[in-house]
Amino acid sequence: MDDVQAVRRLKRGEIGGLEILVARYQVKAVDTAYLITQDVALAEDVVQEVFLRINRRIRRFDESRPFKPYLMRSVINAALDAVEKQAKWVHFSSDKDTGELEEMISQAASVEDQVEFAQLKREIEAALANLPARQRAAIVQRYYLQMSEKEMAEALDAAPGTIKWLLNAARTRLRTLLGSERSAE
Amino acid sequence: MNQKDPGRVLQAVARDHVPEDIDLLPGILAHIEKGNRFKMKSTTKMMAAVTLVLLAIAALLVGLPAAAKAMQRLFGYIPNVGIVEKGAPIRVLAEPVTVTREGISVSVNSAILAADKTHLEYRIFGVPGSAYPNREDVAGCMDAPYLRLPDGKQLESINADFAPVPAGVNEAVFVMPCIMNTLPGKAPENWELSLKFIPAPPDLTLMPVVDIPATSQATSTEQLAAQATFTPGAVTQPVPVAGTPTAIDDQSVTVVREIETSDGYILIGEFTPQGIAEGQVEPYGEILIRDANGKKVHYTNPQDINSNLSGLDASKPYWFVQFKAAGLAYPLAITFSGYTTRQAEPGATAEFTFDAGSNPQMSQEWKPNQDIQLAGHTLKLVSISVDSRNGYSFKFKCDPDLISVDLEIVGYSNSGWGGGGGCYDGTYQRNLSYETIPTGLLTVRIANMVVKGDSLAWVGHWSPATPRTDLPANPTPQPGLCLTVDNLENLDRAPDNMANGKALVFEQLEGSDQYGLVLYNLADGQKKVIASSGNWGSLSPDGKFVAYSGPDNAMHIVDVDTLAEQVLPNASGFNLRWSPDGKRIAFVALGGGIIDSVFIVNTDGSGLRQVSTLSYEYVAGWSPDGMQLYFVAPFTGGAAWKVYAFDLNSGVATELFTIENGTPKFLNPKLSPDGQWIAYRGRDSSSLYLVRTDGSDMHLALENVGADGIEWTSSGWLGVSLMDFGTEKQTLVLVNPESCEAFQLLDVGGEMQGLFIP
Repeated sequence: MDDVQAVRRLKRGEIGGLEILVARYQVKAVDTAYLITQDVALAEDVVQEVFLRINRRIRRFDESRPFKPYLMRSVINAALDAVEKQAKWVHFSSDKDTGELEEMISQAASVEDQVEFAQLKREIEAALANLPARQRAAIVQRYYLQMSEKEMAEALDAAPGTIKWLLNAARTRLRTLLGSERSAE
Repeated sequence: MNQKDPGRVLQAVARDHVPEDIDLLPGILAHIEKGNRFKMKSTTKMMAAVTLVLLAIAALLVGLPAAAKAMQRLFGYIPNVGIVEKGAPIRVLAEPVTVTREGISVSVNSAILAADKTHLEYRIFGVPGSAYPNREDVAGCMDAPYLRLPDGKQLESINADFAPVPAGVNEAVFVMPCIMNTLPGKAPENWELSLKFIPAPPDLTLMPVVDIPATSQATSTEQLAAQATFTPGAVTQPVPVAGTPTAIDDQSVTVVREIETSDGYILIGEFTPQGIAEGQVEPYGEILIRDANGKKVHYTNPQDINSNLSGLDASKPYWFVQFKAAGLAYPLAITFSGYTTRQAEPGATAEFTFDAGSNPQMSQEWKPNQDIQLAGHTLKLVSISVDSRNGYSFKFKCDPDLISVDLEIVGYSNSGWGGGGGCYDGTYQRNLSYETIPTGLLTVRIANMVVKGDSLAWVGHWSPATPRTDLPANPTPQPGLCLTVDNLENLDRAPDNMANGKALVFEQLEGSDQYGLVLYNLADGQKKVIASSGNWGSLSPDGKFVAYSGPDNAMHIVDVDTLAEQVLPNASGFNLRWSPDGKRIAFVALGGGIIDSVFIVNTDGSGLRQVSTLSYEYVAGWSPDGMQLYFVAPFTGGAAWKVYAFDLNSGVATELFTIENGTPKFLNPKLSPDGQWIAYRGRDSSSLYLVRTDGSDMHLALENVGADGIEWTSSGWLGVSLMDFGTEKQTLVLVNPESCEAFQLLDVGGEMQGLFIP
C-alpha cells in the first residue's frame, strides 16, 4: 500500500492507515527531530505529537501532495518549537552532556576505518550541538533530508534568502569547528 | 561508508542515539484511544491573585469608548486571497491567460497585486499520470514558478504568493520551469505566460482588518466577577466539573484581529493558558462560541487566512473562525477546552532491585510481579527483559492517568532510552540502553512520575469594535440553499414511506476496535455487519449487494441477505461505484504505474478496463444508460477539480468543466440517477454544492452542515450524512434539491457510503 492509500484509509477512520505511516517514517522522523533537538526523548515526544496531530487533522490533508515532505516539515517545525520551549520544561531525564556523548562515540569503534568514521561523527555531532537550533534545522534539511532551498524556505516559512543565510552561517561555523577539509559540503 | 556524505554521517550520528527498532505506535495509539494530546510535564497552580489583578485591569478598562478599543491597521481582507497591505492601489489581472501544450493547459485566471504580495490563481490540467513518479518517495521536479519583470528581476513564490510587483510595473511573465513534481522529460517544461495588470475595479471588495490591543479583551467587571470562581487570597486550582470543566476567564483566550466580512466577521486569536508556571496545555475538541443570549454561534475556519498573517507573528499558533453576524448579541463567549499534566510529587523516588546475572542473554526475562509505590500511585513491575540494544526493557501495569516515569539503573549512564508514551492498554513500558550492558545485582530508581492533570476550559470575550447594524436578523435565504447549520435542529423526521430502505455506513463495530461496513434498516434503525474489516462500500442499485475494498485492497462483493462473499479476481482498488444495471463496477486503483486512476470491471471480474491516465481521481457516477462514466481529477496542487465524462463506446474522455469551490481533500462527487446533477463537498469540507453536468447552475445547497457521505436515491432525493465534529456520529438527512424539502432519517456511527430507498 502506498502513502496515498494509507492516508485515505486514515481519513476514513482506519487506524491501520496510521500504523503504516508510522512504521514507514518513524525512524527517519525521530532521526530528524533528534538532530535538531539533540535529545532522544524529546525527539520521540516531538514525532509522537506530530503523528497525533496528523491523525487529528488528516481530513484536511491534501491528497494530491506527497505525504513524506509534509510529515518532515511538520517534524522540523515541531522540533524547533520544542527546542524553544524546552527551557520552560522541567527536566527529569538523566541525559548526558555533550562531552560524555563524545567520549562514548570515540570509544565505539575498533576497526581502523570505523575509527576514522567515528571521529568524523563525533566532530559533526559536537559541531551540530554548538549550532543554534534553526541553523541545525537548516543543515538537517539540506544534508539529511536533501531538501532544496525552496522546499526549505517553505518548511521554515522563511524567504529563500534567509535559507541561504542560514546555510552559509551554518557552513561557516561548521568549517571553523571541523576544519576546512571537513566542511559539510 | 562514504565519509564525505554528510547525509549518511548525520544518519549515523542519529543512529548512535535513536534506536532503529524504535516503536512509537503503542504510545500514539494510547493517546488516540484516550482522546487526549498532552505530553508535557507541568505543575498546574492557579493563583487567585492573578485573577484579582485581571479584575482590577478590567475595572480600569470599563467605560472606555468602543472606538478606543481597536486600532485600525493598514491591512485589508479580500475573500479567497487573504489579508493584504493597503499601502498601494490594488491592481488585478487584465484578462486570463492560457497556454496549452501537448494536451496540458496552464492558465492564470486572476491576480491581485497589493503592496506586500502578488497573489496569482493559476491552474494546470491534463497532466498525464505517467508524468509523475509512481512512488511517493520519489521526487520529481521541484522548481517553483516565479514572475519575471520586464527588467529581468525574478519574484519568487512562497506559500502560493509572489513578492510584490513594484508600482508602475504593469506587465510580468509567469514562468514555470516545470510542472511541479513531474519527472524529467515526461511533460513540457519552461512554460511562459505573459500577464498584464490594470487598476482594480471600484467594486473590488477590500474589507477592513482591525488589530485589537491586548488590553481591550475584557467586557465588564460584572461579567468577569460572575465567572471568576476563585477565593481571594487563596492559592487554588480550578476544580473541573464532570463533562463541563470550569471555564477560566483570565485572558487566556484573546482576539488579536477582527475582519469585517460581507455577512459577519473573521476573528483571529490566541489561546495562551495563563497562570500555569511550567509545562503546556493543549486544547482538545472544538472551540465553542456562544453569543450573549447563549445561542451557539456556528462558524467555519477560513481557508484563505491560515498561511497569510500579514502583520502578525507567524510563529504563534493562532486560531481562526468565520461566522455570520445576523441576529447575534454581544459579547461573544469563546471557550477552549484542554488538559494539563503535572508531576505527581516532585522529588519522589522509588527503587527496586533485580539480579541480571553475570552474562544476561537476549530475550532473557524476569517476572518480578512487584508492586512499587510512588507519589501515591501503584506501579506493578510485571517483567524485565534483555533487549537488542545492550539494555533492558521494563514493563509495568499502570494507572490510566500515568503519562510517564523516568528510570535509571543506579551507577550506570544509559546511552539512550525508549518507550514511554503513557499507560497504553494498562501497560507502561520503558527501555534503557547502554554501551555495555549492566550486569549483576542492579538497583533501578524510578522518579518523576507525570500524570494527567485536570480537564479545564478557558473563556474569552469579544465584541466588535463597531457592531453591525446592517444585517437583518432573518436574512432572505439564497436560491437553492436548502439547509444550513442553523436550521438543522428543526428538521422533521422522515415520513414512513421515505424512512423505508437501507443505508450502508462505515463505522466502528460494536464491542470492537475495528471499523467495518454496517447496513442500517432505515425503518427501525436495526443494523447488520456486512464486512468486519474493509471500506469504500457501495450498495448495488437493487440494494441486494455491497461491493467494498477489503484490507487486502481486493474488491469484495457481499450478498446482504446471506452474507455470501466473493472476491473479484484481477480487481483491486477503492472508490467503488456500481453501474445502473448492476453489471459493472467503476473504481480507482494504482494501474500502469499511475497513482489512482479510474478503471471499470465486470462484476464477475472480467473485462478490466482502464478509463483514465490522470492521477488522484474520484469516480462521480454513471449516466442512466451506463454509457458515460463521470469522474474528476484534481488540478496539480489540489485547489480545483476538472470534471470528465468517459464514453464507453468511443473510449474518449471529454473535459466538461472545472469545480473551483470544492474541497481539495475528499470531494466525494456523486452523480444523480438522472445524470443531471453532481453533488460534491465544498471548499470548507462541510458544505455541499450542486452543479449540472454541463457546468451550469453551480450553487450552494447545504451550508456548513458537516456534509460527509453523499448518496442519491433512485427518486432524486439527496441523502447526506452530517458529521458531528465532537464525535464520530453522523446524522442522515434527506433533501429534495428541487423543492428544498428536508427530513431527518436516523443517527449512525460514521460515514454513509450507500443508500437504497425503493
